[in-house]
Amino acid sequence: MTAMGWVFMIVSWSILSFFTGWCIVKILQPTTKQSISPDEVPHTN
Amino acid sequence: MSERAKWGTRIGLILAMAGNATGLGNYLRFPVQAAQNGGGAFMIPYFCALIFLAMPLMWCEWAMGRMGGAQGHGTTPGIFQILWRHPLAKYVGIFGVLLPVAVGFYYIYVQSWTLAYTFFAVTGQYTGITTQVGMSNFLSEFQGIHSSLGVSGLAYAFFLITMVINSYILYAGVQRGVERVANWGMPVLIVLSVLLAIRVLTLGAPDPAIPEHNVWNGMGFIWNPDFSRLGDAKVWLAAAGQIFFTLSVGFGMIQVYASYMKEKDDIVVSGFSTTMINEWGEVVLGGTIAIPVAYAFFGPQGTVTVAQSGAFNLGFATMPLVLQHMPWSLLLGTAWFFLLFIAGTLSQLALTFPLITFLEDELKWSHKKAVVATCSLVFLAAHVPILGLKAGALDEIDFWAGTFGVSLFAFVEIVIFIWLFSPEKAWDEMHKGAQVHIPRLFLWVLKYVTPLYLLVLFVVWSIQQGPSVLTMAGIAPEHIPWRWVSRCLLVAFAGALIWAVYKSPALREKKAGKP
Repeated sequence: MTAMGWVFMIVSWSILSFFTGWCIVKILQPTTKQSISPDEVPHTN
Repeated sequence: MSERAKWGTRIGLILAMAGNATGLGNYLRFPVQAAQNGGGAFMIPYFCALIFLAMPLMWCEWAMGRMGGAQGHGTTPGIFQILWRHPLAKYVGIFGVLLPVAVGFYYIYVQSWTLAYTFFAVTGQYTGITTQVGMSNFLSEFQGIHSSLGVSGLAYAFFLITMVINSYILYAGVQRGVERVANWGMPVLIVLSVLLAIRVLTLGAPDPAIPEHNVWNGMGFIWNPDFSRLGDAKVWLAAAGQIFFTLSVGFGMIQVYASYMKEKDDIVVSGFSTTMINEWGEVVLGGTIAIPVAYAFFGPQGTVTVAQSGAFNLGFATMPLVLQHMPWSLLLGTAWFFLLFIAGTLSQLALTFPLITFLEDELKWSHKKAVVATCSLVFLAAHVPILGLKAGALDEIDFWAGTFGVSLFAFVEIVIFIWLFSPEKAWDEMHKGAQVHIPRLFLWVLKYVTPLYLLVLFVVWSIQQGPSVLTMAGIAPEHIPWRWVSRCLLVAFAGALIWAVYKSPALREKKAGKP
């Protein structure tokens, strides 16, 4: 495998592993205290 | 309105959704697509499609489903009627039931092959076959495509066993059936994939006389970037197609599972998690198993041939051949086919569930009656792709439902949700109970980029494949009747759904303006 092949593989794996890990942390957090009311969501226009 | 079923836990829902998305495409289609379309450079259009096509569509489908479920409608006929007050809305929505169930007509047969091959691996049925041709012949003989009926007794027996397993899980319902299977099935699938990936990565060069034929050069076959390919529109389309199919968006079945959520359950993180679990499984695990190991045994030319022979051949002919050359071949072969069986089962359950939900919600049938009707229909309709396998009945259904239908339906559903329902209301709906905010950029993406992306995909795929499929160009004359039977099956099913929507008491109430 070329050096660029390694770069693409490691970057892709890292991005996906980071976000998958972030999701696991968020899933394990209780949601009720952090819920955002729809009233708090600003409209765009 | 009777109480609808609910998911027991958030993790159960996410695993069921991820199981819906994770299928044979993760392990077989992705590595072939990456290898054929620029290697590492393929990941640039792949991630673009993930961000601008799949994620927005995923959040839309979750939001539509949860919103519909809160009002007693888990499938798109009812959901579209809520979003778009037009007499046609509920009839447009039938495609969200037609498309997944039609794909389920043939997918159950493929699922049964994975079960059969798990049995073959355990009992060593294909041990001793040493060539690709020999393994392909083994597959053909098992399928019985050269027999007078077009199916062997053994293949039919495994189809029946698979049918019984699926029916039992569907009858058990959302929480005790699908969720329970996802709760153990997905972890087992991930563990088996990790074990196989570790075994492949530690394989080295199987033939010491040819050290360059090793797994890491096989990884290079997928990852070495060819930047010149980025100027080719086909590579961008292939990446968008892979993302589209792997996440199972555009079928209408994500809405069905999401309709069993509670009204204030988060969908932003849950939808994102489903996507990430599927993507991690596809890129990190799926990209590490089949093609690298094929490269280590067959070298670059052999791997090109394998990649060009298609995903089914890679899964059912190349992989068993390669795995039996490795230590612990029995165990590895069993692990490979059992993980495909789990992935196939979770996908098939999701493909079938929309009809059950439709019959319960819109025709007010009991769960038992809806399951019996759905499983009977799938059982009968599956005989078209089974008996017409050699004639390409499976490919015919796959084009109309799995390619043409989903790309058109995905475009229609995003137009209804974002433009006809209104972008602001859709944005608010996505954020009900949200654990985190979606970046504001995505509202603009949802309004313009995703619909345009989908429209381009639909037009290009239709132009590329439509005329030849429509005119049956290159199809042997003796195969044409089965092609027509497949089309008639789809038209008859669509007609039955239109009639059911027309007669639906729940949808009539809506028309009369009742809550």
